[in-house]
Amino acid sequence: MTDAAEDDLIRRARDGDRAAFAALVDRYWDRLHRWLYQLTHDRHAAEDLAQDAFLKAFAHLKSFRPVGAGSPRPYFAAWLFRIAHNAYANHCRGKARREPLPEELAAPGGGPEEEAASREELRELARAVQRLPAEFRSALLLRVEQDLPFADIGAVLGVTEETARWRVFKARRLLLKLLSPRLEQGTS
Amino acid sequence: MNCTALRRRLLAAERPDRADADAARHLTDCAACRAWRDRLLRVERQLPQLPVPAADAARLAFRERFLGAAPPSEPPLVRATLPGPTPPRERGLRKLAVAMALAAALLLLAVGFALWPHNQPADAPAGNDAELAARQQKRDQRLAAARTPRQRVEVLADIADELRSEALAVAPADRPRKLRALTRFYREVVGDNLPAYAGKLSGQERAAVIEDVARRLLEANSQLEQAGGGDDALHELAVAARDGHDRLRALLRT
Repeated sequence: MTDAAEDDLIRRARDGDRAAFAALVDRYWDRLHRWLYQLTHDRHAAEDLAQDAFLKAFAHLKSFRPVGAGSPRPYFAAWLFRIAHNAYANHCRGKARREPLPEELAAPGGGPEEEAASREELRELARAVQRLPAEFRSALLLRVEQDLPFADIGAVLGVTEETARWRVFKARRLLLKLLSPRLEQGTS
Repeated sequence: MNCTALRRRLLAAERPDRADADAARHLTDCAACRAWRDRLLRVERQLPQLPVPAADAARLAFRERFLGAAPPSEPPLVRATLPGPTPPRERGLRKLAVAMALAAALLLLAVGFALWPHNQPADAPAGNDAELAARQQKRDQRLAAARTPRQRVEVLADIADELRSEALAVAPADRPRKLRALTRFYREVVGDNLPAYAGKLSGQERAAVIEDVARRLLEANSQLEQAGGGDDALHELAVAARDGHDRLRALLRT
């Protein structure tokens, strides 16, 4: 989808066109749900929070101003993730439920041994990510998975650009530390 | 630059894979830092592969509920005070006014009916929207039934092929009218959905699947161009196929 096409959808959705907003839901659902799942580790909570965020975004679309500080484009994404983060913060005040990692891991290809090794590697990485403090984890995932610049991560999390950078720095350092035995094994 | 400074710089970088000149010099000379940087990049490459339960069904259900829900209705206007009894003369005048308004409305209705074009084209814009929504719903159902990212990409490539065949089967005289909704949906499938789902493919299958789908789109492009001649509707579809092909190819370069 081009930038102009997205702008057009936003304009139409702002005028109450629900089909246009549904197209935005299609565009952002997976990204938002993925991030929320990594934060909550609860599939139902992630789905509920994603729905909640989209409904709030639709209700408040008139207040959305396409002005962002970071990269030239992800303003709507940053605004949407900001809404989702607020919903997540409210959710955290309630409870923190954990769910085991799903069995159906992405098949990495290669033979059965390689696949099993890679699967185990991903499990280990998932466990390490879970052990990161939530504020570091959310910043790191916004940077690495969502490709948001630090300025937009700051906008999503309600902190300054420098704080966002610092959180990503800490998350990366901690993650490497948690994974160091496996990583050293993998590169030796 | 020493090892500590280099590592701090990479940890704080937006893109640790793009080292500046100082860092690159250090990395060239220091094998330990090269190995450390590779470990960091390996972890960052693996993060997007972390498993997340499929949520297509939830999206589909949400979409359906969202599109089905009526916009919030205006609260009914309530009079603060009830009107008092109306005098008989005023009641008579009011009845006369209502009768005249009714007669005027009937007259307007009759004139409107006489002037209304009775041979409406079958695919008016509202019809197009409904057709598009129906196509989107069918696509979502097929995507929800697919179990792996590869299957989802293949479903979308099949839908693109079906749309192309459908477009080519429409009689040339009917094309401008019939292809409107089809073109919008084709653009969505090949320009947005396919690159988005193909971007989620991982490992060895990524290149093979993307290559195959890109080849199919290129074939679609040339077939539509050849069949279209000067036909704008088919030309638009051909451009969309080419655009989808280019986007998929771009994924292979990232």
